[in-house]
Amino acid sequence: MSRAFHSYAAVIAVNLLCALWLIGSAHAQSVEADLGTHNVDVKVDFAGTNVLLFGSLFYEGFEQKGPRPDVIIAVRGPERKMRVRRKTRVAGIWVNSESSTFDAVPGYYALLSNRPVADITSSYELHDQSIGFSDLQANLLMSPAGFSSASPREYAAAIVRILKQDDLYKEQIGGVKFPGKHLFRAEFALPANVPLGKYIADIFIFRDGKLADDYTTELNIEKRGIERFIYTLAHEWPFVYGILSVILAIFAGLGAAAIFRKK
Amino acid sequence: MQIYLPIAEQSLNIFLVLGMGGVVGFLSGMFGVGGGFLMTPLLIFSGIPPVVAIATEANQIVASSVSGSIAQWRRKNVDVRMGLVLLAGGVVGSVAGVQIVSYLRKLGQVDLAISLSYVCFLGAIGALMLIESIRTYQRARSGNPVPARRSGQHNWIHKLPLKMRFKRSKLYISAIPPVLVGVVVGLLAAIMGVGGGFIMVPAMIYLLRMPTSVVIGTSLFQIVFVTALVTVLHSTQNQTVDVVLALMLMIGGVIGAQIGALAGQKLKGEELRGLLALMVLAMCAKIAYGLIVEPSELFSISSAIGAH
Repeated sequence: MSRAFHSYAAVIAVNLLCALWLIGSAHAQSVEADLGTHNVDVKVDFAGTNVLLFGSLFYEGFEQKGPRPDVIIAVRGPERKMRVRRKTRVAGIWVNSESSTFDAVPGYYALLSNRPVADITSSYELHDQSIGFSDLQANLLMSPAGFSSASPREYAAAIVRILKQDDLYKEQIGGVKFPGKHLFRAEFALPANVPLGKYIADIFIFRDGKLADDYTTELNIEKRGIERFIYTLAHEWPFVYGILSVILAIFAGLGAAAIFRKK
Repeated sequence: MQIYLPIAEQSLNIFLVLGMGGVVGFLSGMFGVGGGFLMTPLLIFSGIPPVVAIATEANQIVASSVSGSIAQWRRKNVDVRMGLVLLAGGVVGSVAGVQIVSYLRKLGQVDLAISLSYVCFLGAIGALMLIESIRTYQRARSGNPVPARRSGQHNWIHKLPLKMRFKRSKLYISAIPPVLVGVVVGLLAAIMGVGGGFIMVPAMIYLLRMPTSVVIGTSLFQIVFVTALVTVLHSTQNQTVDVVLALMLMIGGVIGAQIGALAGQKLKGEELRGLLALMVLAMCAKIAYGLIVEPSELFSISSAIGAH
């Protein structure tokens, strides 16, 4: 009985020590980062933009020789319910025939790193931290609604492939640069068709293939000015929007007629 | 310079949009055709979602048909009574058409339906225009005069009930044929984003036997109201009218139409009409090709509207 208790206490003590050591090591490694902007305004002349992410690394023994830690940055856009359709040939023409719905598809995903992520750490670790496209694709398949198609894997792969073609998903090896000893910087491109909403940028620091620290910051992409007004009106008061569109067209037509008559 | 379109949610080159409006406006001013059947495919080719293209084009046609019908109104070329009967059918057709678009959109078949409609109509219009211009060209070369159309013949239309008197058109005919013409035009406006003049004008001349002087004015009068209704219905039900895109197209279209009208007075039209016919057929072929050839990407994604 007492022996069992002693060994039990010993296990707890070891666990505690481990926990303390973990906390200690996490404190030893420190990353801070920020974005060049936290709000991207989609205005009438919006044609896409680049957002700068910069940060600094500090940890004990930084001055000593040793490999520089690796940095992986994952920028994730708002999730949306998406429908994927597949075309088949019907009577000589290509027709959408089967479809599958995915509940939470990130509208944007940029993966930036100083070198190939496969070289930085193991696929197990990447999966554990939900980093990268294979993890994203695996997550798409975890839908509570279930899938109507027989091969959801193909559909999930199609989502990643199509969004990569649309420049909404991208991987930039070498996208993270080290301009100074403690500094890193990265730039990710938001194309004009970027979905609006809240974006999360996760910065992961790896040392010797192990996650040493991470940091999270946010970005908001919103329509502004006349674009916001038009979009809100069209979706919140669609009838008023329709009437106003017609009135605008009538005035444009009357104006054209008046100008033409003067000539 | 790029302009962001708030409903299409993408940006397009502003000069491309103004240019498309201008070129289509030029052609419609020159040949007296509505620009819808040319503009909607161009918008789709430049990457605008087909549902946004048709709804936005309906909005643009409101502007062009208002300015056109005002000129006709001043010359007293509008048969208001006939226009209202056509409009009664137009209301039914456009309400039904917008419902069809919403339903097909949920099924994921709306793009296909729009493409197929365009293949049929562009093919038919292009072929007819080409035949017409070749015939006129041959007649002009052989020196034979254009044979006059026989008129005043009674046809099956005069046996239908619900007869109405249309003073301006000097007609006493059943209201059923014009209502049916209106229904078809309303459907086309809602599904294809066209005014429907290319169907309505021949129908008025050959089927209803209206005097040619009032045909253009009366059809424009009806088009104003039908496309206005289609714009409101698409806005309310599908939220697909992009007013920024429509405004750009209106500006380009108005300028193009003025230049086109001037050019039409100076240039000899028949060869150019043949050229327009070939252009329409080329568009038809391009859309048909897109349906027949195996796409490089078989999958497509869209935000799940009405998905369950």
